Amino acid sequence: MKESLRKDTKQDFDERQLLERGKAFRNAFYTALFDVLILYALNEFAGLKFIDPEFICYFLIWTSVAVFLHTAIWYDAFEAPNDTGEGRMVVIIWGVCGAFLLLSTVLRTAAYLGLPKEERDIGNLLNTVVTALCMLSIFITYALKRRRRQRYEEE
Amino acid sequence: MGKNLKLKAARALKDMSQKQLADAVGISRQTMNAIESGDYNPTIKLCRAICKALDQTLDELFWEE
Repeated sequence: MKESLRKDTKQDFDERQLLERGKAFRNAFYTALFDVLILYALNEFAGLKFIDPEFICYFLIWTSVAVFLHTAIWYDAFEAPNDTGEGRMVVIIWGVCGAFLLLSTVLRTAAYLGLPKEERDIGNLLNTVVTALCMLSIFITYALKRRRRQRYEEE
Repeated sequence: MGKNLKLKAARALKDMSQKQLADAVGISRQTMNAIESGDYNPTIKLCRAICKALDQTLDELFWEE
């Protein structure tokens, strides 16, 4: 019976989780579209020329990944019933990396401010901040959800 | 969709926790909780699997009067 409902994939999500993940993918896709719209408007109409293609790539990818993972984690569709803890490891590593990146950005900002105006590259600094914030927020959501789940299971 | 109290009662009759029943049918504990609380409408395939695990019929567990 158990086998009949599962496929031979590594992460074997059940039917509700697959539906939730589908919704999460949809949200991530809309986020990417919305990001393009906002960044284009900022670049073309607001005249914020610091938005370079590299930043746009980082921003699109990380915000979409963050939206997907937040939705999947929040609706219990991140870990499959046969989960081996790989997802948890990735999120923990992201949390550590995010904290490190944020800390390094603070130090880099001090160095950045010391540079002459024409040599300043704010795009690179923003890439790091966006990446760090997305990584950290995913970690925090996961930790909160896990704590909530543990509390429920204790009751 | 209201709570599925019949499913909860049948599970209690078998002395199974949500986690045990979920493991028996190959779904997550959260999905089992969503089915019992009426937040998720399972497919017929999953309904049948739950019925078999609890030795009940579809009518007994999922038919709403």
